[in-house]
Amino acid sequence: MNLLIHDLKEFNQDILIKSSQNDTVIIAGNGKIHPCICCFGCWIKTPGQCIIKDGYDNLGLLHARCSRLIIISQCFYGSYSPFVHNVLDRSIPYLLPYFSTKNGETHHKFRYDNKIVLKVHFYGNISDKEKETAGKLVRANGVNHHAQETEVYFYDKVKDIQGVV
Amino acid sequence: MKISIINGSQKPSGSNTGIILSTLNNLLGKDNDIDNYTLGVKQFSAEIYNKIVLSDVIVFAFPLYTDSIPSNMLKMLIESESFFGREKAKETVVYAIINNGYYEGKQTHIAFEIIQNWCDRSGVHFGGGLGQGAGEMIGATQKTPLNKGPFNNLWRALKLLAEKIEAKEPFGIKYLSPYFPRFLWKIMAHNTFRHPLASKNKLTKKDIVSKIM
Repeated sequence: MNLLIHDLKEFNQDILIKSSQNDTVIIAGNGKIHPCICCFGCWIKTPGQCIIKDGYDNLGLLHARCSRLIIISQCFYGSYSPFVHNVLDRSIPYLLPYFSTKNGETHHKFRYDNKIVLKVHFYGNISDKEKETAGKLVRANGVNHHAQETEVYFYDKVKDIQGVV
Repeated sequence: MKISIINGSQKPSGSNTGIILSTLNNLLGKDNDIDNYTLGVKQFSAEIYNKIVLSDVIVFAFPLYTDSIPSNMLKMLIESESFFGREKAKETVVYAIINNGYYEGKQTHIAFEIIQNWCDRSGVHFGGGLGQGAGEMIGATQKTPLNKGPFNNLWRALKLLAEKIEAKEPFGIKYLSPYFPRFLWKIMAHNTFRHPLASKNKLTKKDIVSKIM
């Protein structure tokens, strides 16, 4: 399954999704997403599921089912847009509360066995320094999201983003 | 010296960021004009932004989310950008205190870059800050004074940071982990912290690792 998270105001499916396979789940903003409040409810109350019932409480499960995680986001200071960031923040039920050590750093253990390809398409007026930061961010996110490979693309304009799936 | 301190934690109460900031407030001289703001999950009004931009120093403090800045704080940074870019902003110095749940403070390095990039866009000076590891342990050990327990290195760093803030001098970026072995920290996090909290909800260890499909 492909999981596509985007913050586009106008989503043109014909341009963005070229794959003939009908297996893409799309996460978009509805203006109602609540920020993660770091309550650990997804670990110690309803393991694997967020306790904030706003329609974005199943993100851990969607991450578990996907093999390709595709993100389209405006770039702010080398990070994602607040909405896309919020979706990723709310995805921690995908992980376990337990820690493991990788390359000398602690990270959360994985609840699921799936491995993903993480592709991030950043758009906007992005400086070279911000591009460098964004590349580091996506690679770090890849480590924490069990990504086998990560790819980062930059676009000046939204209309240049095509066929991401 | 007018100092604005912004707690970017999204926790409704009991944030580890708040504990660190409480210590910083105590270390700053009483002759400073300090305003503390807690962002939570809401946004600041234009009135608050107009007060913040008049500060000599701004301290952003927040926990690491997704290797970066919590989404609501990111939104605040974007909104605040339009309030800067004035003559006064050129004299403002921004420091950051970032704590994260992993053991290594170094894992905050990307969030520091993001703050620096925001400073570049907003026209303010970046003064550096502290990247702290094992953030959850700060709350778990809060009965022990910060200057006496496993976070006494953090206390000393905060003391130095307070001096640099008052002088508006660069602090650099310092990454800290607690004076506590990582393997013991991990055992403590697994057995002392997670399991009892889950047991209160009648969850077993098997429940905690369950897969929902």
